[in-house]
Amino acid sequence: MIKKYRQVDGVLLGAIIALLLIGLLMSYSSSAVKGYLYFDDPYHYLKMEVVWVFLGLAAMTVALLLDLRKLYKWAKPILYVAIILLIIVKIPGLGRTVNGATRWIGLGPLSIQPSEVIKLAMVLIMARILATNPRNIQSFHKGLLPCLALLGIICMLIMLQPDLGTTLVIAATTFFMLIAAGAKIWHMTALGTAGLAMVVGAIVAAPYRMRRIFAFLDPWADPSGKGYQSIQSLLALGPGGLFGLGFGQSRQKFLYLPENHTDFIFAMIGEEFGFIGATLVVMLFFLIIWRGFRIAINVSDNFLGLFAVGLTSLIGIQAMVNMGVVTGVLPVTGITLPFLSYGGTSLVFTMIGVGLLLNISRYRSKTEEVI
Amino acid sequence: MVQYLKMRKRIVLIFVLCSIFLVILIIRLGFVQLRDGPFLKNLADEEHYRGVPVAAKRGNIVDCNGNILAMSVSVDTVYAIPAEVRKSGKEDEIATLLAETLEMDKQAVKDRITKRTSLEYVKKKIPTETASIIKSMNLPGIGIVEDSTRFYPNDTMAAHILGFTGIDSQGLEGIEYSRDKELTGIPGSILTEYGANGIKIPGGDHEFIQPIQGNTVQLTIDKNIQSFAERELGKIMSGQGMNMEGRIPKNASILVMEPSTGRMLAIATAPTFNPNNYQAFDQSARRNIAIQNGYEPGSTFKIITLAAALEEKVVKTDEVFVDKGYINILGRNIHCWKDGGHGRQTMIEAVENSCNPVFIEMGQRLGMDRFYKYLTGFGFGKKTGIEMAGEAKGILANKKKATALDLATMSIGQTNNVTPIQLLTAVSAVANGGTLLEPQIVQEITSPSGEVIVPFKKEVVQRVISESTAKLTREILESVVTNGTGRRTFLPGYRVAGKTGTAQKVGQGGYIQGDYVASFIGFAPADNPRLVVFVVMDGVPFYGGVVAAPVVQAVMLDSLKYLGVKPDPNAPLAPGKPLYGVEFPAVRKEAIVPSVLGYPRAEGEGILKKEGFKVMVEGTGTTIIDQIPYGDAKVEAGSTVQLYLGAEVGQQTLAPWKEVLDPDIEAIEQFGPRLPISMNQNLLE
Repeated sequence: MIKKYRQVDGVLLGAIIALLLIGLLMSYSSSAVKGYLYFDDPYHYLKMEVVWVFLGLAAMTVALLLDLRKLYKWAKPILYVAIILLIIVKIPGLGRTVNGATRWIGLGPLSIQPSEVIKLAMVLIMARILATNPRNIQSFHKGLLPCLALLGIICMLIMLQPDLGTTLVIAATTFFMLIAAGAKIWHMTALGTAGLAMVVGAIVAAPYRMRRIFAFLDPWADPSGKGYQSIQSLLALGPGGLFGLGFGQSRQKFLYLPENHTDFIFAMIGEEFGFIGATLVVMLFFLIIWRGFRIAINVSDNFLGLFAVGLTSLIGIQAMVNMGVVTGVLPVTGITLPFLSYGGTSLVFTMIGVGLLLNISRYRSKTEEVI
Repeated sequence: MVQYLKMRKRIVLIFVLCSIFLVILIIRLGFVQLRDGPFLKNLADEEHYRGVPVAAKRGNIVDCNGNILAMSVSVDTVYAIPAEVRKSGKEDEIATLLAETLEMDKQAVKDRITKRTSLEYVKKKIPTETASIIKSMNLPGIGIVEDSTRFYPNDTMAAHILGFTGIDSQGLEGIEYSRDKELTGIPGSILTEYGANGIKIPGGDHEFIQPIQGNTVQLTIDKNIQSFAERELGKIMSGQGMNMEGRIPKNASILVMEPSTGRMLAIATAPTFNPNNYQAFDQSARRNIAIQNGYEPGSTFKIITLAAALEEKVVKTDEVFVDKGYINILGRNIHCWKDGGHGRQTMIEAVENSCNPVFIEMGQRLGMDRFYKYLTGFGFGKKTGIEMAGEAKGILANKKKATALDLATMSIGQTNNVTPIQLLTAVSAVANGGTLLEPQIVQEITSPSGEVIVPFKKEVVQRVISESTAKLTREILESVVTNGTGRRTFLPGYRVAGKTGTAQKVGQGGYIQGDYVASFIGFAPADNPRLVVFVVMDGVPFYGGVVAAPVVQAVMLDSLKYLGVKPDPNAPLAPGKPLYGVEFPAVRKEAIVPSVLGYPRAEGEGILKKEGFKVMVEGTGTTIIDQIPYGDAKVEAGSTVQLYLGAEVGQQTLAPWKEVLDPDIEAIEQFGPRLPISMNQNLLE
């Protein structure tokens, strides 16, 4: 493996710091009402978030300093640990159930979300598999099939919780990595077609699914039921207009928009800072995606390159899906917006990912930079 | 490094895909926030804002000269926002305080202020002083909103026409009911932003949407003429009716119409009620018998028979009839009201005498078809269309089954059931030259800024008789007053025309003796009638010519003078035939009424009495707040001045409406908008 010689990617780091600051600001503004009502303290969530941000920065620093060669070696053990955690979470008494989904393992005052661990573990193992035998991926049997089998098992385990959002993100990330690794385009097209055929089949078998899947296209058909969150989200974005209602001026946070400080934080940004604020956030995520993929291209190592693709995809896909849900172009899936949504462990794991990405950015490049 | 170069291209591909998605996202944001923004903001506002309705001030009802008959007075309404009351945790304390101040039951208050609604009224229409006490308590979740209540400054005056309103200021009867839409206005609202949990958003926006005051309804009713009519009714109902020997009829009505336009100048009915305090009166007092009750009119109806006979030229004015006291129809004798009959008489004399056999003869000459043609032509058997709820149609004998005997009795005003307003409208057609009009009660509708929204419109139903027939009929009717049964209506210096009526009432097995509906219908001046005055008294043992005619005379004289109708120099100063026991008032000198507005009662009365006026007083209080006729009016010396008492000039006394307040709001709300219409008992079926 090659040696480190450069500074970390400053643009990437800057974008992340900017998002973290916006996140702190919004976690206060959006959660003040809930904090006041449920904990008698409008700063309740902000105080917690500040702690998590520092924990996240610490985790990022650790990840930044890790020896990535060791990580290559530990890929398998880490995957096994992640899988065990996924199984543990389903053992009664150990897993914590919130809103009908068992996603947490309590460890004293801390709690861990195995799905966050598996995201990183999966990216790591895929990068290792694909980098070890680069030419295998051209073959369906030797290259693609084992990867898909592993993805299938992991997705199945996550769907046991159930957690559709994470499943989607992991599946999409894996696909991006397969494409980057050089999987034949017709293989991927065929897979995509097969997937589409399955979806069509499922819809034909039970038309109610179609209504559920496409409910997001017309939330007003069921304004108090399935369409409720989508409508409340639009009722936050719309009044925001170009410049927004101003910091702290959100109306929808007064218990109209559920999950406003987590899954729908982007709607809060759109309401308080308008089109300009929302677009700024989209641009920051664009920066992350751009720098992430740039790091992947510029590192002259297959493992590190694919690892960088996976880490960038994890953050990018999750952000795109979340913002797609909030603006009503994707159905409600229930995933958070990286850096901005309130939520402790998920922020820490995102920051670990970011730390690893920044770590990769310090490695030497042999060719000139492309993007 | 084949693998490596391929990977770079693939990553660029993924990066481009992601970028496209982000561009789509920004475009979508633009659509949602910029294009649909205003629309979505409206939706969001609808969700966030909750309004406390602010009642619009109900429009006034005024008479044809703009005198206020019904007005709105500011009061307050106490409301609660139960979510805030519950949040404060002081439900009990608040309920106790409110119950004490509002004199309500504590549990009832508590139930109301903790109800699971977004807004609940605690008590409506409380005096502003009480409201300010509550305001100063600063109770969480309790608010005060301006409201208005109805006040009728003249109390009982024109009560049946005006009607009244309920607790939500909704019109329940009369013009208040029929013109509710125009009077109501558009309620405003105090809008405040609320969270989804029903708690006010701190620092949220407030918006006050100004209510729009209702329109003013101007009636054709003239307060002065209405008060002349009510003054006479007052005399009758207090046992002071002329020739009544102290008797009081069951009920009575006086109607005054302007025949040329169909405008009703007065509709007075007794018994009556005070719309400020309508719950205190029996429902029967709220019945407008002049519109809602039918009766057998008797001889006043002979005007119709006469007009029809003249129009069809079946009689001539100089034709001579011999009345032997009865006429035999289908083997039955119908008697003239005068024992032994009137003997030889011309047709005009027969009308002067109200001779039954002659009118029956007229009916026979007309025949069934032509008689019915005029019956329906003059508007009997169907509603006149006057704007009063519950108007009766009256009942006509079935033409297919009617016998010659029916025709005979119909000719003299029996058998058929008609309403006073029908008869008045029909006689007005004779007075105005032969055109049946729809009686009008609303002059015009004006906006609060005084702009006329709905102007007056005369509604012609149809022409019934020719101008010449109408003129001839008027002249004959004038002769009835000058020479005949109507002499007690005679006014020296004015040409008055009219006809008496004494209807027998139907009881068990026939007509009841000694219990009549006495009536008189008259108009003046006979050559160009300005007024048609109709008086009906139900339940008297006297003839219409004796008890009803003097009432018409009084109302007519005051009204003609009030309207400035000059005495006709060609009019006779005494009736053609003296009437035993009746003295006609000499034409008295004119006198100018002094204004006593604002005077204490005793002083004002003193001034008027010194000037030779009689005084009638209405209302409670120490100060004279209104008078009719007004100061400087020229009236006949020695006439009556009506005084209205109150607390202060220019500010109507609030005492009556305070008494109206009923602690049990629900009980008031249960009143329906209309009363059931039961037919009068004197129907002939």
